[in-house]
Amino acid sequence: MIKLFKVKEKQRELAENANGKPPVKKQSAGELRLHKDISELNLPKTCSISFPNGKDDLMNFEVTIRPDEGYYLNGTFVFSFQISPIYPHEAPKVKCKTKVYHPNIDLEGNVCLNILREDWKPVLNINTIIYGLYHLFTEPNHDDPLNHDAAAVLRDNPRLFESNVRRAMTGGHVGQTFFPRCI
Amino acid sequence: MDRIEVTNLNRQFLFRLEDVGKPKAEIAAKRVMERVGDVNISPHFCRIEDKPLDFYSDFSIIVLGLDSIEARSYINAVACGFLEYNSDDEPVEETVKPLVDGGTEGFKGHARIIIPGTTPCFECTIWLFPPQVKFPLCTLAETPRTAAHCIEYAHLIKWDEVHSGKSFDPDNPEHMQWVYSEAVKRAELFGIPGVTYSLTQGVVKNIIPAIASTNAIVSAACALETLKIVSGCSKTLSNYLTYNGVEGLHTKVTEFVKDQDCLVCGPGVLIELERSITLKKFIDHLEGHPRLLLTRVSVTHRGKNLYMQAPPVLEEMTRSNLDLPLFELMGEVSKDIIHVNGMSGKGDKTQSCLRKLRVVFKGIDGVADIDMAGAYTAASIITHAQSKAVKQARIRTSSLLCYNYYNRVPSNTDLTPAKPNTDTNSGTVTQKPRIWELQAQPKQNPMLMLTDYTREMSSRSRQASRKLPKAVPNEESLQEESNATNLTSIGAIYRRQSKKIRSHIESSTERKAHTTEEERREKSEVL
Repeated sequence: MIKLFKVKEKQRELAENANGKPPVKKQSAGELRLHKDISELNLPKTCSISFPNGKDDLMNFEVTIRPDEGYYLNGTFVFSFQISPIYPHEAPKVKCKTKVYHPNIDLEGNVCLNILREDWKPVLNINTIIYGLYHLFTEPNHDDPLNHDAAAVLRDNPRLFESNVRRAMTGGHVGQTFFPRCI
Repeated sequence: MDRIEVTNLNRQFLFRLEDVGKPKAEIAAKRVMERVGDVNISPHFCRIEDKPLDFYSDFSIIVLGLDSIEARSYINAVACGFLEYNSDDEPVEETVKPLVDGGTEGFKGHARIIIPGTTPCFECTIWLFPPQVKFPLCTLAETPRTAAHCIEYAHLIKWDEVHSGKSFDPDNPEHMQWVYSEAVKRAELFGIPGVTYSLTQGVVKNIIPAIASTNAIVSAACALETLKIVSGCSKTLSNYLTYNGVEGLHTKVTEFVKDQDCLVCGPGVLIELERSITLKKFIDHLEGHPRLLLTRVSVTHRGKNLYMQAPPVLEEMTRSNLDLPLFELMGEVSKDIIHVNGMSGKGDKTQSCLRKLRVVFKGIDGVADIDMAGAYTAASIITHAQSKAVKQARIRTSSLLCYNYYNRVPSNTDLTPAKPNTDTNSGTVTQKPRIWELQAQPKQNPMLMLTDYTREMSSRSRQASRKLPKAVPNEESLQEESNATNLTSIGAIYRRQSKKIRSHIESSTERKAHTTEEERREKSEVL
């Protein structure tokens, strides 16, 4: 039988012994796993990461990708990452903060990447997501698109797609939508 | 933050029609106190995260009726946060806060006991949950096929398009109504039947309809186990009950095993340090520590990142901490938990590992205050020399116990353990928690049996657990899987694991060839 009364006494003594301060919340297992992923990040030179809330808040950060090949050469694209407390059980929420003309990224910033939704597994990590995002720019995919106009152009007229991307990146209109400069 | 709704009334028998809209906690407390004399219930209508830690530390036992993985994970971390280990890496009895957890989902349910330090905690077994079902965004945007796709389109994509900035509130009926009407429009566009308001609520809020029998069975099990723990009247559940009423009726109790390396409830590695040691010296020390041997170490303490090896921006931000004393960086407490991440192993076989450390700083006179547990017993104040002598005696006694147990005496023999150390000056360690002991018969201590199983299974189950088969999505459920436990998958995974363990034991060459083929297939399936 658990010595129930003793448990109560002990807790009070523990609390008092902690220098008079109340017991501080420990990190959740999700935060620790995130700490591990971040401390092992091995990013290519085209990708960089920043922590807008300082070095102690790893749950919200931004990744900047600057592709060095393909249609999106030299553009700068910023993604925001939001990690849930039950990471890695749940995939991070990633949104594109830069307005971009891309078949797999819509105008609200939703990103269609399989490992962010249906193919997420706890064995994946931040590194794999960033590589996946980089891959979106080097190899845009016109099957299953989020932006079906862009996808149609990519499929039917790659040269027009290329010039649309250039125009969008340097700041201009494609169809009815205006894209701010990001190059 | 649960209020009573009309749909609750079929099974939540403490509530009546006139209670709809009121907080569940308050009405439940009122009704029970009306019926049962001599009981005092204080309701609290707030989020569990809003209560400070010392609120939870006041209770002797915590019984859970939560509805998400996140909530369970939080309470588990709180309860296991109170757990302390002594210098022999055994749980200190007075710091153990038992949890009783139950959950249901349609016809299935579970009840489990968590004794921090002895049974697996919630995080030890969190890998049993199958991955959540999520639809690809492009399916939602371009090629919806089911009613759930239409609803999720309205919920995830259309909402932001029209209400950009405003966050969607599932408890707001106007928001829900808007999502429902958009989903209907979308379904009409693609000719998909089946979008109803209640399906919309189900998909958006992850609800699976509840029935009275499942809840009654699971809550009865939880109530029974709580009674047993509190009164010690009988052997408790050990340690996970699953119930499945959908095809026939099936219940099973599984004795899951604690993960020794669990970051939440595990003992971690005990490290004694001088107060003057710098962070840099500490990191170097870990490289040589026999139980760790970690290189490229990053250190975090209670949410503060003391040093990060990567990425470069964080390494720069934390570099200045390297020359500061670790004692100062940890807030000048005499002992605390710290986590380190690094690479272990040599050459080609390095692998990343995240370890929990119990750091104890030596006092001013160079003596470590490790075994605080000893100090808290009855009236005795022990000097350091005395406690050391007692520790030696305890080691001798426990090794006697171990000796018999390692010889694997057959389980139907009455094993009389070596006489327990009744020296009142010693700590409470030799009296292992006797939660499961039946009557007064000297049976083999069930806790020892548990650890025996651990060692046998540890090498095999680790392998088996890495080859988890991909959870087969339930074709019939058109909605995202709820966060309540999905038990058939757990059952399937457990059965598959035990099959693997059995096939490992029977090592004939054909079996070996067969299993490697199976493994190869499973590996490719998982990847």
